[in-house]
Amino acid sequence: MSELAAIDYAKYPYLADVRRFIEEHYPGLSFEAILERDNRVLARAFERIEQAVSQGRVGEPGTYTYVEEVLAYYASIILVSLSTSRWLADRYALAEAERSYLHMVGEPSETLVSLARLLGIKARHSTTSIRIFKTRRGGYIVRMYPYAIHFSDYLRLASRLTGDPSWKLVNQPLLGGWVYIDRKARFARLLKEAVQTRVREQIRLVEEVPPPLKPLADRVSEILSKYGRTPGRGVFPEAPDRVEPEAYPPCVAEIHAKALRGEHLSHHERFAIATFLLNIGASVDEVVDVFRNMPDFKEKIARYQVEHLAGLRGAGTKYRVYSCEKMKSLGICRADCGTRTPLSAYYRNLRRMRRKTEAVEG
Amino acid sequence: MPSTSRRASSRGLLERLFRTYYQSKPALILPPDMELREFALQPFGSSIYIRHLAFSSYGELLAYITRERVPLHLYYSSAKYEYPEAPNMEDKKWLGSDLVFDIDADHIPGCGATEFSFCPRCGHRAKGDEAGPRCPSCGAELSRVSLVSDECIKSAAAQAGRLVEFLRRDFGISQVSVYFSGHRGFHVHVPCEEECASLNSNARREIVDYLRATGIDVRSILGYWEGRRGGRPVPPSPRDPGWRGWIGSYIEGLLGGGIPSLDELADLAYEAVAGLRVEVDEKVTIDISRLVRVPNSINGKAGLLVREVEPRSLKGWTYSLSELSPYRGRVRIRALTPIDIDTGGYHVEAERGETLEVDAPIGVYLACKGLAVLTSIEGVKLG
Ligand SMILES: [Zn+2]
Repeated sequence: MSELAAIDYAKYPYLADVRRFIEEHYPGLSFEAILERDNRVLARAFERIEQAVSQGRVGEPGTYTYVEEVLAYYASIILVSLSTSRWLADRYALAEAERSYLHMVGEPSETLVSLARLLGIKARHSTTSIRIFKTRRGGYIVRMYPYAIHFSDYLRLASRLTGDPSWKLVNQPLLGGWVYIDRKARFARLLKEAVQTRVREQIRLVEEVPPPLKPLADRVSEILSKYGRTPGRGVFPEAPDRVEPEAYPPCVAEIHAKALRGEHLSHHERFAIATFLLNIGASVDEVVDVFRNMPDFKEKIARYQVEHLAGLRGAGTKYRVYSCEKMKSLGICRADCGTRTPLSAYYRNLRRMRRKTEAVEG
Repeated sequence: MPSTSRRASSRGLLERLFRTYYQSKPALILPPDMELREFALQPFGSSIYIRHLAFSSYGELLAYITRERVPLHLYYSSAKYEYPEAPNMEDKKWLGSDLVFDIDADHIPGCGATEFSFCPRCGHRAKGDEAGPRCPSCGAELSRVSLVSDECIKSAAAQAGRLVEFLRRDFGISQVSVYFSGHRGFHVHVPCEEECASLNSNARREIVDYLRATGIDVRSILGYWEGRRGGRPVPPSPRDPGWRGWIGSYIEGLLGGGIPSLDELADLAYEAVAGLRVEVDEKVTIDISRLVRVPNSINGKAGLLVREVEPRSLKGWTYSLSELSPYRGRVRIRALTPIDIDTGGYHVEAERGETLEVDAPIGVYLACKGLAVLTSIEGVKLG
């Protein structure tokens, strides 16, 4: 790592190791203590969140110091995760990436390559060039490729860009496993994707919430409301990485078990389990799999129906989950969810389970 | 009824031949991490696959396929799983997948398969898709046959050779294994440990598009934008990265003395792309939980071995049934429909109902194709 150019963490705060950063700048103090001592950190954290919501881009720190900016970043991702708003988490990650992109296009190419490596990308500096055109005056127009990135990383980072033919792999100069990149803006565009993923991941992985931050979740909600985002509606709880059958409420668990045993399910039961699974983040494939043992299972038809429920077909309406009351009135459920919809019961159970595992590990 | 029971016993003979092969402890080529793979097979006499099998050694696998169910087709997953035996994808826990490519002779332009169906009971015969599932004259279930020419199988070999070159030169991947599929195509396996293992379907689709030149923008590659203010394009060199290099190698020697215009160059480049693109089957490569045939197993579609081929020998590769079959010696067969076939070094003509003695490789081939049934396998040897 010695060849890495110096990185300005105020521009790219997600690259800083926050523990070491605190040790270095506030020896002996905890993050919590710093927050209590210096309210500028929290002020900047809220400013960052508000900028992300209102402008779609985190702004520059202005009078805040380098150290305050890095700590404010960490405070802000904790606050975003506290909001349990998936919309805000996505928005914030993008806003941070937008800011980084503006900085990156102004960096020297060595710094960009260092940034790429710190983001876990297999990238290197290149001196490859090809003569592409001979001008009327007899000179050459040369295509220079100062950057090279391994094709597997390229594919990962360009996945949302390949709708544009100029990003498709087939149109890239690929040789020996390396995709050569000509313009800085294009290389920075790929890094922007990596930044967005990195920040989103850091939000997802927030574990410890320092006590001074806990009561501040309401202030994040206020920011959301101020810009027409009601945290109660249109904002969803953080999706777990994978579907957790152990947390299914009893009615859903019963229908699921019947399906897996290959017993016949009524139309309402099918609707109830499919919409439930789609809403907790299961993929179409996973939902189709649930029906695989049904006596009348036909892959094509099942897939069509599930895609329809997921809003991928027809009018594009994503179907709502039956409420617990509705399920009872349809006679497909006898047990009590204890909540209005099976979704809230699921997330409640999930939280309980997580607390339990934490207790075991701790 | 007598005809169906004769067919059943003939199926029994084919099954016996397959079992004998597996009982001889053939050198099936298994991945070093076989315990992370799902195994699957289609047994004789069933159209349903047995899936979600897991074996931790060659011996375990062999015991299963010789004692439990003899496979007409035998597969393992290109994917590695924490729990390969789990019955659904969610529980298997995907750990990554090898990169696999399939080149099938009937996907090569100008190489469609000749397809027909016939009635094994009354002999009625219909071309291609004209027929429904049942015989229009007697109502028996029709047999479907699909054949491609030897030339097309050889073109598939040449395409596989080019695929290996694309992987090596452009993708920097030189650790590849190439297999004849045991029917009429080629499989190319790239074992993936790190980077390529985690590529998702969309990323794999981009690799397919690269090989098939789907969405290629030839004019940009040739410098259309740089050349807007006039001048002459520099012709691509074979050393250039990407498709530009392949275009360069194609036009090398085709250019006369003068420097071509951008339009002239573009015409040649389109020709180059059409001639060099590799016809890989998209759905195979983008599927991260694909089942692939076990090398050195028998492909029940033609009774031939899934056989490793040296990449260097793909260009002059010959399609020879006697070299690709696990069997030698003679078999007796009875034709179910008129046969006039010239393939893999054999020529066979027979009337419907005629019984004849032929070399084991072509006899087993015709039985697997459904054109004939085996009536005696006493003269068959392995090897
Ligand atoms: Zn008939």
